[in-house]
Amino acid sequence: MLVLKALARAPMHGYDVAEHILAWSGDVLKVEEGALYPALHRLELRGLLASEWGVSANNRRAKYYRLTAAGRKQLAAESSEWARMSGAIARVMEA
Amino acid sequence: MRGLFTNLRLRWRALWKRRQLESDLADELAFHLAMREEKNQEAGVAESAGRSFGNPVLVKEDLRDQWTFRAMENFWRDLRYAARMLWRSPGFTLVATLSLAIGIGGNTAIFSVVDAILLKSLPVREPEQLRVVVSTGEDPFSSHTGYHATNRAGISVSSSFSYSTYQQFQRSVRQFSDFIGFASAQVTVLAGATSHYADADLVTGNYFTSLGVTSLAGRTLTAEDDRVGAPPVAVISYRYWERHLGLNPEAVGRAIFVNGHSVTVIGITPQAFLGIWPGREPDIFVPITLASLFGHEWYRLDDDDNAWVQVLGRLRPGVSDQQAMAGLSVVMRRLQEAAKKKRTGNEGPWRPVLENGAGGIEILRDHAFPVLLVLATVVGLVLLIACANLANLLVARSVSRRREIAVRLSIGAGRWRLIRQLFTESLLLAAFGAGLGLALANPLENLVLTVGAENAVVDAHLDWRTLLFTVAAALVTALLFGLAPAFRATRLDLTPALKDGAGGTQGPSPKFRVSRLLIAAQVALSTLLLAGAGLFVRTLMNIYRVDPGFQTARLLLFNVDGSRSGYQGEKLLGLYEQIRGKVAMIPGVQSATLSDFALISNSTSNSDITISGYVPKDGRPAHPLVLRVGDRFFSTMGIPIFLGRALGERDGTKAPKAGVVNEAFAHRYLPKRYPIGQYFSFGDGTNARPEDRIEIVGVCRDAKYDDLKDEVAPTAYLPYLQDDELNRGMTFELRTAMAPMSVAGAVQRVVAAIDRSVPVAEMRTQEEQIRETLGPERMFAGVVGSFGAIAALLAAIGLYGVMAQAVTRRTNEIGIRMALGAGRGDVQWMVLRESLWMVAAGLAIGIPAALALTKLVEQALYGIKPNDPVSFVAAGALIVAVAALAAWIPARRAARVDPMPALRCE
Repeated sequence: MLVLKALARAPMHGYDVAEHILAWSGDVLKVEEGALYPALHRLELRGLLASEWGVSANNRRAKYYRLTAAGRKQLAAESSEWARMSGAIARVMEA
Repeated sequence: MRGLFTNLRLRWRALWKRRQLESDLADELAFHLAMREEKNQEAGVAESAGRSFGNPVLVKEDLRDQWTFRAMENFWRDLRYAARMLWRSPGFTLVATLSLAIGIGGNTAIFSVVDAILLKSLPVREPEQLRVVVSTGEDPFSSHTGYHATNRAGISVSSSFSYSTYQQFQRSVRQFSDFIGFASAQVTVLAGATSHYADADLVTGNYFTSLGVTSLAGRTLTAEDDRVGAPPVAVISYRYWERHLGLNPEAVGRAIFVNGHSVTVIGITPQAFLGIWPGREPDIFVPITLASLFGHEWYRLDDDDNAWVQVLGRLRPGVSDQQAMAGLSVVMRRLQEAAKKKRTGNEGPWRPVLENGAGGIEILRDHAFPVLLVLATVVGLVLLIACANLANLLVARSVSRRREIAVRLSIGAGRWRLIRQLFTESLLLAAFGAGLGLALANPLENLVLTVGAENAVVDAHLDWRTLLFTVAAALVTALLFGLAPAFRATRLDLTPALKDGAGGTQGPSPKFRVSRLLIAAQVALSTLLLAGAGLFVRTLMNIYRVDPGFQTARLLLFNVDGSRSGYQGEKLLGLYEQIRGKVAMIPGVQSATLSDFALISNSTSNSDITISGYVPKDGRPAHPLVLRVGDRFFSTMGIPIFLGRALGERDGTKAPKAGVVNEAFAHRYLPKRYPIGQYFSFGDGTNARPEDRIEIVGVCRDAKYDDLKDEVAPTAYLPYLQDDELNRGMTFELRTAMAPMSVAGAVQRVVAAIDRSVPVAEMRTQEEQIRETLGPERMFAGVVGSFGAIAALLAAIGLYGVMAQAVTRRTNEIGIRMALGAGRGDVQWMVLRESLWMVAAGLAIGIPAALALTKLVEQALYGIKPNDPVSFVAAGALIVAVAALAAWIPARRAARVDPMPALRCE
């Protein structure tokens, strides 16, 4: 979900995905980089992501991922489910 | 679902761009690591980029697995490796493929025959609703055409009913939606310039519509065609169309002459439809109301006394067999009360019996069942032996591949991975075997069908069911022979295996115990087959050794039936006499005669007779077989006359009735009397006219009549010219000076010159005629014998393989023994002894098993007991001899071991 969310903003390569998640979470969520790529590829093979090769900011060949329509739908479904769950957990904790 | 589709699409694309995928994966990870490295350097962090990443090789492998079809690709790689390995040992591959091909091919052939005869349903609409209606008990009919048989439930049934019984079933038995009535008859067809005999089915008008069989061309019969007085029409079978009308599309609408009557062909049945009596495919179908034209004289629609219509009913949905039988019983009881013939009470009451009709008339199934059972057992055993053999060879191979396997295990190959690899080899072998087996199956199947089912037309060909069976057989076979060796091969103690491939001097390791058991099992199974083969071969030999009582060599037989080409009464007799006279003048023909049946053709006629001065025992009248014969019958057939004279020209139509009887007749019915000059007459003699009395003018030697196996029954030979009712075909017998078939062409020409509408049928020699009646015996002897030989050969190969392997492994040991003074003979004997132990163990299991099993085929034997010592001793001796030969080669090699290099090896 976090990967999908990161890519919802703009297409980017794997390294940027890790960096973005780290930055947005205020350095809390450090993505296990060894697990990141298998996850990306799995999502790509499920048709949630599409990829193409491009040139990075510092002029290197890099693989850029972007969200597909199916990916967007999946993200919407997952984020609403997350909102429901986290809300529920928050309510339980406050009770 | 869509996700799965995308997945497959992407991976499929990647499959073709393997190099691209590899470099992409590498680039992507390299890029990431480079970026991380830069960032770390900027931040001044001392840790390397790899630390937060983990092992990039593992990550890459994970990614690659996601993108590729690993299981399939591995399988493909295994397959290629297996093919290479097999290619490298062609001898092993050849033996394995051949033995599997024989095993699988035999099973496939038998399966397709079993499937066609026992399992398949008729190609008709809802065959499971069909029931064959037969009856048991004392029926009200005085004559019966069809069959009497004991069905599989052990009930003795009669097949036929009168036409009016059929009509009443159709009218008032509501448990069935429809009844089909039919009867078979042989007819003579004149189509174009040639005439021939054909098998006709006389069928009720609803036959095709009720079965749901449509026509390939034209139309099928309707109720309208089956009306008395309707124009005569016929539907022909595909095979008849092919054979006699050359698949001519204009055949529909043509007129053919059936028994001299013009009949219009209105349609052709589909190729798959072979009638409703498996093994008896009719050539033409005609309406049953034409029975008087095309059927036997006793096929009469209006005669309630004659049973000749066989009945197939279609049950209404939801009706049980009990309810259906109750419905039939009501009609049958009514008929019995109205019948002329009153019950004697000697047999049980007349009642219906229903048999499953999904496969048509079951009679062929019942006959074929025991034959097929024996054959299926035999081919099953052969496949088992082939499996055991192969398992053995694989174990032996795995021993020589120990080092390879140990190396692969030690550098980290998973055991499962290796087992899969080895099993792939077995699968490949099984596939080869199945492929070749399929090719073998067809000729084998034809052999089984021609000899076994007496030339029955059966729809047995290689279809998807057979193919499925073959694939299943191959898979099971691969599992049987491949799995265990694969497991064993990969259970290795690595260190010694790597240290030394030859295994040192540890002697027969426990690894060989399984091999020994397998060899013993093979020997046991082969003994079983060989003993069976011995029994069947000796049965056949015994039958051939039977003295038929007449000279079988140089006799040509053929059939002529003029009654169906318009000849009757005196004209018919005149035709036969004319043919007999003309064929006797063909150069090379020594003498010619005729009789109403061929000898040794499983057909006889018989009759109750009354003999002057003979008092019937226990109320049963004298009941001899009767054969109607022509002039010179005894001299042509070579049957000696012991007393009196033979039948000859003087016993013509108008002459006093005369007959020759055989010795059995004289002994049974005229004991202690001089037979010549005695009289007998047909029936109970109460209303015999003096001119109907038959004088016994001669006594001949006993000669076999219906078959070779049975004792010669009392038989009366009577002149056919003195048969007042003769209205049927005859078999001509010609004694020739040279090979009988060499005059066949001349016979055809002579008969055609007399009348081209009279066909000559079933031209054959007497010896062929005899062979034909020995179908099952010949097939048992041939099939069981050849498979038994193959089994023994396979066992020998297995034994050789195991012993050769053992000798190789024990080279050092043998070297030491020889260095310590063991002679060549001692070493040879040591190896031989080991083999003979296995053979002895096999025999110890095989012979008792064979003794138990051969009891089951007692019925198929002739002149010997199922525990015939000759067969068993021969089988045992053969096995021992073959095994000794197989073991002798490695034994000799062991004896040639030169102690010095063998020891140096250590």
